[in-house]
Amino acid sequence: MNVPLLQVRNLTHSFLEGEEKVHALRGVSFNANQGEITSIIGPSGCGKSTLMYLLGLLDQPDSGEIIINNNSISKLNEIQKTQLRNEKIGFIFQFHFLIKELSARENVALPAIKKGEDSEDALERADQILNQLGLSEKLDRFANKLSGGEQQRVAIARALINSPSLILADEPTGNLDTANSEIVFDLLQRLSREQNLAVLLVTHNNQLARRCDRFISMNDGLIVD
Amino acid sequence: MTMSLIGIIFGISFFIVTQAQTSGFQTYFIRTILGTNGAIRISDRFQDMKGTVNKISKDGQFKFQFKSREDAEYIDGVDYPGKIRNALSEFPSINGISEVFECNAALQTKSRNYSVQAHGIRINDHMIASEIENQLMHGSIENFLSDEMGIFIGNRVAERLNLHVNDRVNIVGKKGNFQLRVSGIFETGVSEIDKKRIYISLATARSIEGKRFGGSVFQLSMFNPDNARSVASQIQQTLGHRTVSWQEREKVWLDVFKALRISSAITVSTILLLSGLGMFNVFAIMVIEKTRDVAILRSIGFEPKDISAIFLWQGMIVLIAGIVGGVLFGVIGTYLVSQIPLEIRGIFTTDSFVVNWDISHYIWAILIATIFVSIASWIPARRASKVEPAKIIRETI
Repeated sequence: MNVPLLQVRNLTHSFLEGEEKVHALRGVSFNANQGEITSIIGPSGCGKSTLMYLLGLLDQPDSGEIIINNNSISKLNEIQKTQLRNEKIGFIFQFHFLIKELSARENVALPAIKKGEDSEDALERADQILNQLGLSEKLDRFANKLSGGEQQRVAIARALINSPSLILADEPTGNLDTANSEIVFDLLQRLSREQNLAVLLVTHNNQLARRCDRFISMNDGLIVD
Repeated sequence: MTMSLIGIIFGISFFIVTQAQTSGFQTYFIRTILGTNGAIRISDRFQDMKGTVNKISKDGQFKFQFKSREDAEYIDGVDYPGKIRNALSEFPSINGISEVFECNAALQTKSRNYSVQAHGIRINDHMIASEIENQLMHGSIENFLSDEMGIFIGNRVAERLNLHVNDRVNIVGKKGNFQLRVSGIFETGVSEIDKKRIYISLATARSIEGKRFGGSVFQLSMFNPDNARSVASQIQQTLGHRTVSWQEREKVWLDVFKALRISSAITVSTILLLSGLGMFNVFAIMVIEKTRDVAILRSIGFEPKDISAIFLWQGMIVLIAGIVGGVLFGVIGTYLVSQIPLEIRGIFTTDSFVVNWDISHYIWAILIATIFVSIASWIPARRASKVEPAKIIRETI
């Protein structure tokens, strides 16, 4: 049975671009369920990434409500939001955003260390996750010495290490070739099933979007389909 | 960053070396003058307090009293030395009291006459109130004690008159002359004293000056000479005699040393300040370069304080390395400076740089470096913690 892990109610958000006020979201509402991948598609500038940042608690909505695990995040202070982001939400970006001075395993272990886990234990678990994602040979490689597909898998491993309930993937395949895109998508699909994760996938790739469990189409700050 | 670290090491070590050197000379000078002229000198008695000003408030209450020593009239010397000595013995901070009768005289040898300043003393008292015992180069206290006609002469006096221990010499005063025997030759290090001063017994000094009573001064030593100023003020108030502490007596030289120390401290602190500015620049650039990484860390759950801590920790590492290196080079530098030959004959005597090994120099150097480095790392750290992750990620994409 599908349980709505994430409930978004009438979300609006605007920001200043130069002197112009941009209304990025104009009242977005939807649910995302555990064990499912929900894709969000739409043209550039339609508000997909803004929605992701709001859901990832990196930004503040103008109005509306975000409910995660039946808890409204509007009641949380900054420290509680940061803690929630660390423990319950995993971020995957288009450009993977790894720290290049750290090795693959160190990048993956970072959120766990921040959570308070012992460094050695965190690194050991990072190794296990990287092994599962087929990167056992690249554990000690610096992030910038990995291929694009490998870097994205390291980013997925980092998003998973604290066993989150929600994965926010902002165009994770946008910078990858077809073969690597398939690998990353299959991985997300498998993880959402196996670990009962709610995955929100922003993509431009219509084919990938249609393979997801649910499908949301956005345009001009609104959900159109 | 390496240049900033070198700057901090250099600044700390240079601070330590310059302070050790300037305070070394000052400490040596103070030790010399305390050992020679005592911590406090009591001389003339006030005859009339013309310089006294009483400030009375409107309601008739006593506000304060100001006594100007300059406007008072004095009677030459201490009038009742016995009473003064008894009164002084009640001051617990005083550990030595020596009555000294000063007069001008001439020493005569077969070949020449030489003007000197004679100090009549009781050697047992004077040994406690001065460092005369340690200042003796030749002869001994026992020689002086065993011979009523004994004389201690400054080493420069001895050189000029070619006198040695046990030589005979005539002393000619205002009212008489005596033949004395050289009991010892001393060196204070203060050239003005070494070429003019002689010590004879108090009775002999009074005899050659023809003054059986009065006219003497008191030289006092203290357990803690740093308190001399306040104790001198109390004594003057209580005994009605002109009382001068060593700080007041040597004010000119002490001010010179103070000016030198402050000047060198400011100069060297500038090196630390510049290193701090260099470090600030490095951190400021680092924050700009690492904005993306900061955004990543924020997105995976790091709090603003965690981001600040990363930069502050880096600053701390540089500071600790700078302190360890700076103190090490400071110790080595201070030792090397102390080995440099330097002949000084004047306000004191030395043949090499005098240094003062004082923990406070190290503490000050570390404190100043800590302040500069803390500011230099705190401002960029604060800026880094205020990075808005969504904005940075949006702009990066």
